[in-house]
Amino acid sequence: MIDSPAGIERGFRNAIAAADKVLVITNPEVSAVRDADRVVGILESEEKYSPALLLNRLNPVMVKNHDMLSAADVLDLLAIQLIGVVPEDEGVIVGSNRGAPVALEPKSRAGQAFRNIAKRLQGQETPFLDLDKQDGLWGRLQRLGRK
Amino acid sequence: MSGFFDRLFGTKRSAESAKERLQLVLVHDRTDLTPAQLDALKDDLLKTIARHIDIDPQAVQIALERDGREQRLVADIPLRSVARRRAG
Repeated sequence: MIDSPAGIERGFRNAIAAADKVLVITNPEVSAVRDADRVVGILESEEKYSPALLLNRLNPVMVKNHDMLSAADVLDLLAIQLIGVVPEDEGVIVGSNRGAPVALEPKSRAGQAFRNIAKRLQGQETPFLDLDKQDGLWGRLQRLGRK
Repeated sequence: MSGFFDRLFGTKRSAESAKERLQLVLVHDRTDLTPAQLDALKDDLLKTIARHIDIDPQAVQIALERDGREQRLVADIPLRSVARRRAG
């Protein structure tokens, strides 16, 4: 697995030269999605077909308040297949401070999302996480009000 | 809570703005056409069509649309009817 440098310069083109599968990683922000679309465009022109989208640092509360693009919005805009959505998680920073990868943290939601993505990459069908699950009574009341 | 008041007064939430802005910018990124180039293309198209059939340039709508990862140039060009032409 090659982690391509950010951007669409030489490093990116070198990284994809030998790739047989490409994951496009982006955040649900305007400038990030725009860059991801350019990357997908270059992949198409290089005939690296069917890249998969990994949507990183999604904040479920902001999505619910309609202040962040949802996974469905980003999928609609980029029109490629989805391999996983990783929720925003402070544990990622704490883990990197300690040198303990969040993917090995059994209780972390982000860790669970990364483990699920790894399974999908190995070809195992894995259901997508319900990112609304941990939002407690207030969140549920708010959603009722929205219906 | 702000979401509640925004819905009450019909203010647009920021995610909706983000999606609209992206829809606009991605079409132009993917086609590599500036709005000025698109206008020039429209003018040329209208002139060419008007040489062959009678159209109302004011009623013509030409726009770039998104369909998955494909873009298409969609034109809606109402023709002036023969009867109206004779009357006019």
